[in-house]
Amino acid sequence: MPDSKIEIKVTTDVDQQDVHIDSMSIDAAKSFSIILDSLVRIVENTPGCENAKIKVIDGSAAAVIEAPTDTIQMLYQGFEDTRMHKCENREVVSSYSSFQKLFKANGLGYTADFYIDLERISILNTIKDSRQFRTKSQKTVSDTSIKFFQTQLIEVGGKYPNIHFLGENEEKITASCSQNDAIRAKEFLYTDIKLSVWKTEKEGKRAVYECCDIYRNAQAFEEISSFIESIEEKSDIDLLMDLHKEIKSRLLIGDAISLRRIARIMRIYSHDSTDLNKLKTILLVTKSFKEREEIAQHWQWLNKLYNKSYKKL
Amino acid sequence: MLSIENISQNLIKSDEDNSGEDFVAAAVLVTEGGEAVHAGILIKYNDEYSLFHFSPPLELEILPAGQWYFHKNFNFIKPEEIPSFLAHCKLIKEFANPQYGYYFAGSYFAEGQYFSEIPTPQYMTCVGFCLNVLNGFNLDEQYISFDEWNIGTVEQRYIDRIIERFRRDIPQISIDLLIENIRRITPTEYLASAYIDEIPVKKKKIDRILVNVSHAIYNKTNP
Repeated sequence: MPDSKIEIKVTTDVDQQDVHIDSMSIDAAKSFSIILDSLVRIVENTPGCENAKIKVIDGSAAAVIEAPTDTIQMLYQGFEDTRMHKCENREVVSSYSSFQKLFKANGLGYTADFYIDLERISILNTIKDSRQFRTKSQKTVSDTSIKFFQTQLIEVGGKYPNIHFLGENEEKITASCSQNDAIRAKEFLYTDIKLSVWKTEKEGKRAVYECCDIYRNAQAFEEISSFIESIEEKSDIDLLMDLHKEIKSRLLIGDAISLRRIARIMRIYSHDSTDLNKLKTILLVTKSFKEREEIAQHWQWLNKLYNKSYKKL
Repeated sequence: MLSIENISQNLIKSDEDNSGEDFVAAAVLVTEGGEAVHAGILIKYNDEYSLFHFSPPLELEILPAGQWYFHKNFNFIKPEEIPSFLAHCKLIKEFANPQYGYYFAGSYFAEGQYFSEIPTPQYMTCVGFCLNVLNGFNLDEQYISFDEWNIGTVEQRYIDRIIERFRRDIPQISIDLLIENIRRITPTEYLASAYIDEIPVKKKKIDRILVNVSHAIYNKTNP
């Protein structure tokens, strides 16, 4: 007998009688087939388990996975991850979730054990008492990010307006822009320009750049770029709170310069790719200022984007 | 009209929740006798259950174990926008300073500050607090048509107490204006509001299901 295995057994039937594989009630047979199917799916979807053997034990209704100890340990890790809601593998989670439904339903009796080097670890009560298993919630990472450049502008124009400037490694970057941006950019031709662009990278495709804003004021550029770069590294809730506090501190000053600075922050987020939560946070904090002419237009843009993504939910 | 059974199906004992999805919900604390006596907002995010409530004091805490909280999800707050709701709550926790009283003048928390149609100190009940938080999270509408409630069901001693406190804080305040804004919305009414999809929630609609909501709470605690 190998030292390591997983064994899940239907022990007793609804009438408390022992279950035998050669003569099962419909309830017991259903449960047994779910157990066998789930074990197969766990093995199939855990990489590195190709050498595992699945077997049914004569007599009792037990389904078993036999494998070398390190393989069983790997499967045990998969169970632990599922229990902690950290497992990202849908198939594995849904298999354990099937066990959970069976064990929680009244009627049949079960045992569920890992044996690692002869040591028995029962997982029956752990599964029963846990909250419903589900996959780790994955943050959807946007393909688009904001980039700030202080660089040389080498060309402006085109039928579809665009600007050409040098990237970090002196490579030429072309960004699409509005006619207005093109006109504003023109005064910086062959000199230094400070700008922000949305960069969209899709797998297997060349990056696409769209002009976001052009800064004439060096201090505005410095403040906005360092603020945005600092918060974009934070986790979601902290990021939102910092975004709120930054805007609020300027609202409390309340003069035209402060509001125009807020408008430029709003402009950074006026893009289809912006996360709903950032839009909502900005809209809420500026709600009672939405009629102020410095930000009114930006507020409407962001509100439109917000409503668009809310409706998709 | 919603039957007791429909209401029961979506009324979940908070520490037995296994819905799998993130949510924001109206939560009420229920006595052994089956009566809702306290209200809060329950937020499930990243497998953590946080209760935001004003007992007083103002708390944003992990759902306390061993207490009978029941909740019903708010449909107007989508699971995807919970990070911004949670940030909204944390900002309120950081900046707001509510005090207890049966008073509600259409005030709301936005920008983590307390805004009211008339300038007043931050008096409110546990329910008033929840409604303020929810109002503050909406961009256009109020969450609830609060002015449909009035002084009618508030006990005289509470009315006296709140008037006394206001006079202490703002001696020049108009008593008529004060009386107009003394109101009490009960925890059961608050819970019932979560069953109504149309915002702002109307008192009439709550009244229609209130008895059934009370029964559903009672049945859950006395099976």
